Amino acid sequence: MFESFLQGFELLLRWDIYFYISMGLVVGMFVGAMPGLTTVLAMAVLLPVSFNLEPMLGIPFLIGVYKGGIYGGSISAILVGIPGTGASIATTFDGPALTRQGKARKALEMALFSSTIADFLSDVATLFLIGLIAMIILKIGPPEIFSIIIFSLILIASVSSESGIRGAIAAFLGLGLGFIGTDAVTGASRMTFGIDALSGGIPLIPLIIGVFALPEILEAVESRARTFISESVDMSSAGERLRWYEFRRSIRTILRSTAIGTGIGMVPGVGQVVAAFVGYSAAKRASKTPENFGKGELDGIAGPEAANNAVNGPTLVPLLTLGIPGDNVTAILLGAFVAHGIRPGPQIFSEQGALIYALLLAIIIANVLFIFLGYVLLKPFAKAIQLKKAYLIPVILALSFVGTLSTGTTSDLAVMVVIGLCAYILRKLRFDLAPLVIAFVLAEPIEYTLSQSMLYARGDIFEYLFVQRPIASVFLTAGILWIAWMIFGPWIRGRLRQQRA
Amino acid sequence: MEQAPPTKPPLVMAGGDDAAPNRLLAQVDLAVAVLLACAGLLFAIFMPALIGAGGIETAQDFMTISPAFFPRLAMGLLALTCVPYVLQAIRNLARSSKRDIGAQLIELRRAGFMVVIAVGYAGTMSWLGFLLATMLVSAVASYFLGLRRPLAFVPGVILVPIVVRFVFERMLYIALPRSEIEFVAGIEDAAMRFLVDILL
Repeated sequence: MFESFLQGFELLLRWDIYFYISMGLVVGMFVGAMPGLTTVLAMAVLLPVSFNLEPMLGIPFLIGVYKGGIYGGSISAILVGIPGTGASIATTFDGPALTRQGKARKALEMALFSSTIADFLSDVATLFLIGLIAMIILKIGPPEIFSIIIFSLILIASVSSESGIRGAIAAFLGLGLGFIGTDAVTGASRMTFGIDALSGGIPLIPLIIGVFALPEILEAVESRARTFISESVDMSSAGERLRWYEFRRSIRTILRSTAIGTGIGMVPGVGQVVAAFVGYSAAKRASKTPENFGKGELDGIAGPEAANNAVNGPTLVPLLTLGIPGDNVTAILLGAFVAHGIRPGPQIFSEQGALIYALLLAIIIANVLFIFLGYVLLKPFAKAIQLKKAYLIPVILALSFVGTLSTGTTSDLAVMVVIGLCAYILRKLRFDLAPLVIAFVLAEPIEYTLSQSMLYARGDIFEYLFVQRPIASVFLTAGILWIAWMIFGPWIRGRLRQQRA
Repeated sequence: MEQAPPTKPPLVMAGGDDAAPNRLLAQVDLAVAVLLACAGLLFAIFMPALIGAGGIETAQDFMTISPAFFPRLAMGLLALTCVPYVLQAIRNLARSSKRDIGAQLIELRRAGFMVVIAVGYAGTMSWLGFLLATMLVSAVASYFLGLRRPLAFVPGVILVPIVVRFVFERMLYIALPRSEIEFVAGIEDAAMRFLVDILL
């Protein structure tokens, strides 16, 4: 493992890696700062760009977009109280108050420093943990992997949408779409309706762009305001820079939120939004002046920003070690890995250890670039949030179509538009579509691992999974208990409330 | 899960909220719920008929589960999960109000217009080629989004497709559709040759 680590270090000795990371950070910050446009949109549209770069350039480029986007969301959250991404909703509690007090610059710099420090520390933790976890996972077989995938899918579906039912429906739709095409186990064609284009299944790229990009374009068009925000931004009254003593007071908050974000990041499906809220409330609880929270407290910026950025690295743990994308961003990253011939899973470190370590090290180094670029570009991006939609939407639409055409098939445009339209309707009905995409990519591994488990079982599969394989049993039982809690939990809580009353 | 945060108070849709849901969306919600439930049920019942002949027959004999097993299971569970969804949608419709329907219709009309643009873009791209189709769509979209002065959007409408085509085709080697109209294709090729001569 150490040899792979050193080889990975050697792969990093090229300037173009840092150029592409920087490009990704700039694009991500720009898109993240625009309320209504998300990092996911930018990643979905730019995913095909990464295909034509080598893995050491394409994947860090996308990760740069991801990191930049999560931070970029805090710019509009602080200046005008409109979060650029969902991850920065908690930042709106104190950000606008600080801006009103003439401390916008302090708040923006606190967001930048807490984001990058937390991201850096959680990435280092990921680097050291991921190899260890992969080694443990190598010891387990298809029944365990099947049960972990099922458990993760249950978790993702239940926590992603506002109602577990909608999350489950999205996941089943994703599985249904994933089963279209040739069966990986027996080679039989399924649900192709005689259409040759479907024999290879629904391609991932048009699906990702259709699900994530087109609905965002349509939602941005719904409110045809000329600019993304109607509030005016005056950076000339942004106030003084952040002082060292102010930053020092928040170090404990940053470290606490880093630990929170790192832990949450490793659990599939939970993500930045939850981490930011937990980070904020932990900072408030630990503060000596909790009454200042919500009225303009720098710890109220450091807490959520450190927590949401600390999620970035650890989300790669389930992705790289098990091939399970924990959220929509990692589902897109999985598409990039697969397109580059890297199949995430337990074998990844023995097969392509040097490359994976190089990528992880590049992600860590990206944080250093992030501080410099973030500091320099704060002002221009703060002004850019007043850009007119009419300039950006046509470009994003064109890039979505170009991205779909990167598969080389013009008929994929129809697939993308149909999926995009369906995704738009489902999003209007408050469906979160991350479970759909995640279930789509996991459909084949689920089928494959259960088929293998059934061969091993040579008889009663339930007895085999629940009695003979303890790890599989734990995950499956946890999944069943979780579903039971989702169904009966509200009823039990209601009864308890009644009894107390 | 990252979602675009609301930039205005969202029109209320799903269950669990105390406010009355919007009538139009509640109706769409019910229609989608019923459609998904029926589709799931029908697919689950008729799945064996949707499995084509062929594949590795020895593998199909050897495996204890047929190729229809997983899709059938997924669709069956979809139908089952849709039962509480249908009930929730009926409940939402019953307590829905006509509040905000006008605003909702305007929003949907705007999105609908953009869908027409996207469908037209997809439909004409192989005929008009990437450059001309993108220029036309960008011009229509820019006008629709409020740009009125030609000087404000014409340079972008012309330059952006050329730059995108150059970057993707010549630098990233992603082939984009060439127009079937020879005159237009000739102009596209000339523009690309010009940029290649200057930049590469």
